[in-house]
Amino acid sequence: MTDPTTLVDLLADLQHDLGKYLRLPLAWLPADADDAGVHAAAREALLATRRVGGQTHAAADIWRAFLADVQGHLDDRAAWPPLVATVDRALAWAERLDGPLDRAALTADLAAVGPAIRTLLDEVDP
Amino acid sequence: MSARPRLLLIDDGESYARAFSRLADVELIDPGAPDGLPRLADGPAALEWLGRHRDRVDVVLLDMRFDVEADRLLPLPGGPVSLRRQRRFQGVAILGAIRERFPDLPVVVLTAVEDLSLLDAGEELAQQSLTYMLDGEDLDAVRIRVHTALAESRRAQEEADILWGQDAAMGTVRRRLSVLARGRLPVILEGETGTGKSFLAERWLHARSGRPGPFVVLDLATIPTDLVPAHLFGATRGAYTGAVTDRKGVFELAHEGTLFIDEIQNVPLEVQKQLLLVLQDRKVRPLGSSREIPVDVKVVAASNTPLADAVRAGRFRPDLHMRLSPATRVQLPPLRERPRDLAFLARRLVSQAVRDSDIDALRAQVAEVVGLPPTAPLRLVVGREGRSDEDALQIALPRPAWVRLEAHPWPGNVRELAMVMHNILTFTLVGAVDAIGVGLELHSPRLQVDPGLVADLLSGASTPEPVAPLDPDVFSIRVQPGATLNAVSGEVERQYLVALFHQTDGDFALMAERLLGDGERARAIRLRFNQLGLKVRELRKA
Repeated sequence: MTDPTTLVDLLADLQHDLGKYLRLPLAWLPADADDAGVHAAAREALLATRRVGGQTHAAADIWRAFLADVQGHLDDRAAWPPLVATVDRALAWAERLDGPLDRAALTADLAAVGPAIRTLLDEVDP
Repeated sequence: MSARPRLLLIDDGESYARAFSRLADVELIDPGAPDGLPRLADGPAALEWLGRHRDRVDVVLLDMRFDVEADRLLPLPGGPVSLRRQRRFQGVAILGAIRERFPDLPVVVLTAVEDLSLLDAGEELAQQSLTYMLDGEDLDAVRIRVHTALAESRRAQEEADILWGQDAAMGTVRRRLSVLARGRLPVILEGETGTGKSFLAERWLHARSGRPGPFVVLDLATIPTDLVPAHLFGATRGAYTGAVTDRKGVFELAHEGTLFIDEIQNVPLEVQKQLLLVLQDRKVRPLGSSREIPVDVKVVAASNTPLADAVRAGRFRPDLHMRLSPATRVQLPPLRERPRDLAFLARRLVSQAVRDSDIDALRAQVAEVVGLPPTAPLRLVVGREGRSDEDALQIALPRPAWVRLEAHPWPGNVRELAMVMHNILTFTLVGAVDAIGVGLELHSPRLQVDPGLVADLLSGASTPEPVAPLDPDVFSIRVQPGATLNAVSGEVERQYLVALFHQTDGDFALMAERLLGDGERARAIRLRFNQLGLKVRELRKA
């Protein structure tokens, strides 16, 4: 599994499944959406992140599956700790879905995951 | 096209389907997918559906990654790859299949260009015609792309209408060129001036070639013969007088793209061997250089006379002609041999003329006066046609004027027709504006074309027949009294050579053949031109 090609493939998959679908629901939300709209988009982004083939995958599940696949082989990469911190910050919003949401902060945190994955991807496959 | 653009979504996931369903200004097609979502989940399903319902779709929205079973994946171009990669870039395979089967269908790829950095074909993908990548991910970005795609698709359709017309002869050409566009073989386009050779080369052959490189034009009618090698192959500094810097040749510039060589019959005989070697070896060596540069170029060669005639006359090497692949020769029929097209094209040219901002402004002025909206369509009507059509500004051509147009031989072909129709339109609209300016009231949206205008335009607009028989007796030479007999005879010779130059399209070999009975003695004719102070460059411009 230390094969760089496999790591690149896994990161590219993560970019698609997590990076892209965490940010899309908020990106698609109209600027004048009300609180209910923001909550619905946040739920979709975090809890129904990837819906395909009749199955729904939450962001946390996608991340856990990725960690299991890479088996620690990215730990020594400089961009790994920032990615972990960025994902943790994004996933933490799932705990706050029942309360008021700061749309700007939420959007920024979810949108930050994609670029963090890209940075690591560029490090693994310069 | 319906009022709302009809979008077909090809995507295995559900997010886009749910998001796009909420858009009020587009119609997301429900293709009857088993899960009830308004999308098709893989390439085979999409191609099968499009095969039956292409006419129901205005724009395709295509995702890039498809997490579907292996037997629902289309192969990626460039050979086998891992299943994971095949899924990740499945959109490329689907796009390729759509381009092949439905080349005029606009596709918006739901991926930003930068997300394709892992994909070798990413740049190529983004450059394909009627293919659009997203600039952003909000729904407005999708909307903007859809509307861009629709506008360009409509424009391409209008251009195609003008280009192809309705006559069966052009239908055959179209089918043939569609096949030739995808191959690597050179293509020879033969046809009179104004039949659309350069347009076809760029908008059809290059646009559909899938080649990532540029479209480069070399017009040999505008280049002095002695500079042709440098233009073709490039030159290093000092390789010839005036070469003050290194210069790339058109083969190098067109690498991985298409090189259109217009008037290829003008390639000097002494350069044809070099050109043959470049086509054979796919390497080019600039003048003055010892370095060979590999080039991958699709060549489209155009000629307004049959190249086979030039071969027979000894002006074109048979081996070069063979290398250019006469099997791929396409003859573009002149407009006078497309009887169904004159009326069709004339009407289309009038209705599309509003793209010209001057015509558009005139149209708006006149429309307002006759009580129509400023964007009222322009319509060409003949004789008594369209009397009940009150929604359009009508350009009414009297029947005798139309008969005159039909009888015209159109030596300048569609280009000439476009010019004539543009002038008819301009003069008629300006006439209406002038009438309004002096206080005349227009009550009808029907603007009568002056029959005399058509006669004037046809007598002045025609370009000469491109291939006049070479008969020295037809030259008319005006002798002005001079100080000496030598001066007079020099002037006679000058006029004679200038006329011959124009009759042969500047082909010195042909001039040598006519004057000296030996096409190989072109250099002697050139020398005489120099002695008489005749500037070839200026003559070509003229």
